[in-house]
Amino acid sequence: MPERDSDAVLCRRAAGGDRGAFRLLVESHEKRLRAFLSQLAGPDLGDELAQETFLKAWRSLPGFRGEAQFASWLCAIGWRLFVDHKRRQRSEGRKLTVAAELAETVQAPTAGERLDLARALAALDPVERAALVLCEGHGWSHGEAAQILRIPLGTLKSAVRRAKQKCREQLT
Amino acid sequence: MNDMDDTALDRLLSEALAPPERAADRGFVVRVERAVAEAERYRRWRAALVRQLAGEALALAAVAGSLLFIAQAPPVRDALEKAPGLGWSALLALFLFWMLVRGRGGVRA
Repeated sequence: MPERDSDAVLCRRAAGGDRGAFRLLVESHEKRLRAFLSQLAGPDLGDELAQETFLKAWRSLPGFRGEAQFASWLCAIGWRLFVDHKRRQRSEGRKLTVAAELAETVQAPTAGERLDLARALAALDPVERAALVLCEGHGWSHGEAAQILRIPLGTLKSAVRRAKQKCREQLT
Repeated sequence: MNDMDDTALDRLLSEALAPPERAADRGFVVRVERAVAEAERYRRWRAALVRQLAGEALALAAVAGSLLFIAQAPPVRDALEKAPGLGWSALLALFLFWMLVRGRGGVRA
């Protein structure tokens, strides 16, 4: 079996219009991106945003210089789309729906914990939730997560600390 | 759940928030591929439209320039002074001809 091309090679090919290469990138990154966006926006909207993210990535690939990892670049696009979406839609009713949908997304060990954690996450500010998901769930370093969310490192660390504190208070 | 310590909270969070362990979702990949194909089709159509409009604008400018030049010629100027409606009729005929040509060769999505 031939060795799979790296993201950098696939990005170069996709930037030149190779849709097959882009398909391979989608296959290898959709799981993480959809998980991230679902944890922010709920599964349905998360999937919509993920599709939009890939589309935007396809259009922007010629300008992607490869300074960041493709995965973090993708997450950053997804995050900006989510923030834009939130700006457009600031109704209390929608917030409640997202909180309910988050309960389906969070996959903690037991049903009780799952519900508690979903409530705790839904109560978080979007930046806190995103910071927590990226650093605690997806294994990004604080520096990488700060780049993805385009916030200073200190702000990111505070957001993670606050999010964990809020979760602890909700869960105890 | 009482007095959760840092280690237990970290473990709970990393288990709950980790991306799922599964193979790529073919349905989603196909949806993205279709969206990309559609976006490419639209991009090509738009580029063709811009090229066509630019070409038409250039052609119109050339025709207008030629007409102005011809209208400066003494016999044509005299004829236009005697019958001003002649110039407008010629312009209208030219416009209709251009519309006919444009309608046949338009860009399709």
